[in-house]
Amino acid sequence: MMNLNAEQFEEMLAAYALDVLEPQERTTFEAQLAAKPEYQAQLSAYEQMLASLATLTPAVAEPVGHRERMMAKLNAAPAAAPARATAPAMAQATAGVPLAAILPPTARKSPQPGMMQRITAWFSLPNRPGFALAGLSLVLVIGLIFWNLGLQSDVTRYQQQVNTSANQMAQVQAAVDLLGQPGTVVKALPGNKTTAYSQLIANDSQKRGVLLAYNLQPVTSDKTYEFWLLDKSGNPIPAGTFNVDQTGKGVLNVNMPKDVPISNLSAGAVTIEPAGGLPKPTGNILMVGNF
Amino acid sequence: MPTANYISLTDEELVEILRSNLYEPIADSVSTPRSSASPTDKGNGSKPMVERNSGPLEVLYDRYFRQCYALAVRILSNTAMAEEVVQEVFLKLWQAPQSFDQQRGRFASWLLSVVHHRCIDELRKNKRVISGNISLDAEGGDDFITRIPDEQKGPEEVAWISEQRANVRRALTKLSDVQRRVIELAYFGGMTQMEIASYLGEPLGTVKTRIRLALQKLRLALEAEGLGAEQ
Repeated sequence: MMNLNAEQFEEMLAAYALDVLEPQERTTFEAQLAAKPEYQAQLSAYEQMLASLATLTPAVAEPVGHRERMMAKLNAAPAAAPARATAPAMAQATAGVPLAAILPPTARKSPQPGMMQRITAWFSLPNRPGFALAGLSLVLVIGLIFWNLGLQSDVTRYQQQVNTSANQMAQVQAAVDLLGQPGTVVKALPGNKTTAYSQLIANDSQKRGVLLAYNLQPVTSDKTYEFWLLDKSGNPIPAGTFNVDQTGKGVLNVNMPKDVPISNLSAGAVTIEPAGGLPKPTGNILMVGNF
Repeated sequence: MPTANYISLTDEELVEILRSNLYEPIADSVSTPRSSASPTDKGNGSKPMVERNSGPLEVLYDRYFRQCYALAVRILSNTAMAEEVVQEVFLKLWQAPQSFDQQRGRFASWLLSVVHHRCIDELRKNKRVISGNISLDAEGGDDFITRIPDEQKGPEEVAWISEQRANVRRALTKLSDVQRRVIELAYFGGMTQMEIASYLGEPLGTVKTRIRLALQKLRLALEAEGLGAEQ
């Protein structure tokens, strides 16, 4: 994100308080905000003001049994934070951190209990025959080998996810940068009878564009999503292919046509095509937006 | 009544108790769901060694569940999801009470902000269809207080909430229609500014400026109504 002047910063602050920034914008702005403690009071005032809007919500009947369910969750929740941390240190660590970021991540599930305890108990019994011990060791070794293979598979999968996320982050950053440029336009492509939707952020003078897509189903490896731009005559121009992550989000650096200005484009659309994409669309239109 | 000892305390005092007993077992044992075992009872190993008193949290929950839940239902339009989100926020408060920083204002405002943020996250995470019916004047909102029987609310509290609501409504009238609209779409509709721009067919820069001016004007109007932020 470029350096912001005071007015631009206040615009971002208002947008941040109202939670209308895109995730990448929010993250970038939080970093800038952390360096400007003089704006914390204004942010706090906005947050308190916005909370007063909650009084406008019509009352609804309380769900039956909600308190009992809450107490059950309370009993099942971890009782205390690690004793190593001190309360003041924790408070200091969270002071001034924006609201959306201060709550801790959901507690991780503890490892499944039982197996190791049962094995330990088995070993602790007296007079077990030696061959059984050897057999058990063999089972343990085999188990460890499979466990190791499983871990390697997990590591590979997580690495792929990290690479995908990093790639998406870079493309989203490109979109954010583009938004700051004069002449940038934003075009909406609503879903065609689906809840999927996307937005094209494009700049004619730079011939750059980024497509942000949401709520799409991941496709199999032999298929891909393909983005099309349509000229005034309705002829489709292939503008790039992309895939989505497990949350249904996808980002594409759009190949903007060099010889056709945006003003001469009539629409954008997304279809599913064979992997690698095609020069002409063959799949159903999933999202379409008139320019 | 298990929580009777805490009812007279302020929100901020209750959070302070939660914070102070986060790291050490409580000395006095008020009967609570967690007080069945002694603080040092290791039992069969499945119970935590340090027991905490959930009384303060229960009082806060009883005070604010209704309002938080109404807000969550309003945003999510899904009662089950709304209950889940609100209870998750209270659980996080239980696990990390230090996340509330008193320097940043009242507890109630903070709590509602957290619930709001969580609802918006949930809304954006799940599939959403823009209904076009997002409005600050929700159906049935005008007689919100009087229509709902609530044995827990005394007449003073009902009157206070009603007055708050009237003040907020008066403050909102100071905004232009277009300024109100962007606040509605953002606060209750969960739209990002880019989505608002697309939805309204306005340039993004216009929407950004409108949001900034709307918040500035609303802040001044609320301060004039005596609802300014406490610093």
